[in-house]
Amino acid sequence: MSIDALSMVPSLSVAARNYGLSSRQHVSSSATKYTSIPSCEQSTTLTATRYWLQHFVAPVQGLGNYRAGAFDVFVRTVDCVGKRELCRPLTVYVVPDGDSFIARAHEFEQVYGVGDSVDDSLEDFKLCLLDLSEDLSDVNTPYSSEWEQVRAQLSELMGK
Amino acid sequence: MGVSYNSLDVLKPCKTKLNVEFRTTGPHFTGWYLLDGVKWARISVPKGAKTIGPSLFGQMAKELKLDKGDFVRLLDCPLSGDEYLSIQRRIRDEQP
Repeated sequence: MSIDALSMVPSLSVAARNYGLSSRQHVSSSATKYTSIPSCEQSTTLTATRYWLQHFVAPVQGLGNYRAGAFDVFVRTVDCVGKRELCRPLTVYVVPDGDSFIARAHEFEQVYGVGDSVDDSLEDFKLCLLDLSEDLSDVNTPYSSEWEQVRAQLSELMGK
Repeated sequence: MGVSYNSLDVLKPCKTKLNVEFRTTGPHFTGWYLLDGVKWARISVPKGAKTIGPSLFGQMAKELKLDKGDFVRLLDCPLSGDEYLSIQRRIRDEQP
């Protein structure tokens, strides 16, 4: 067993904890477990890495609806809103916010979406972006220069 | 954020103090604050009675061009509509 293989165990334990897994349960740090790594005796760190990754990834995939940590950021790309295709993909960042999730884009700080899950907040974001676009089509009252800029940016994004 | 707020806690002072008229047809309640006849700030409040998370709270404060402290004062009563107006005029006049 390579000594380097041992050094990665703590980081995997931390990662497992972040996804709501017991580190003891899924990423054992006991030396006896290492002996059960297939072909570990003649292997390199790479073999051990693969072994631990496989054992780490499998339970995470099985969880499906894990509890997101406070500092998780989910990055999504939006190509269309409603039936309208965007001129370029918009990157949206979704983060946990209390009991909900909030989705925002750096490009349009005036818009956000909220929901009980990452996907819900993303869908809400799309609806709100469309709603803002419709809202800004009203020209009966003048807008501040900030909102004139947003309107121009949004029109360009929506291909109007 | 010691005290928690929900959507109604935001809607009510926006209506009464800032005279924001909310549109109810979209995914959120949305309304404009008019500064001297110009659409200046747009606030979007989610429908439903869920507690507002810290990020959303900050987002709403930003939408009204207030820092979190003034936003709390708006919701908790001390910040009047007139004071809000003078804050917004100051922000506008400080713009390049």
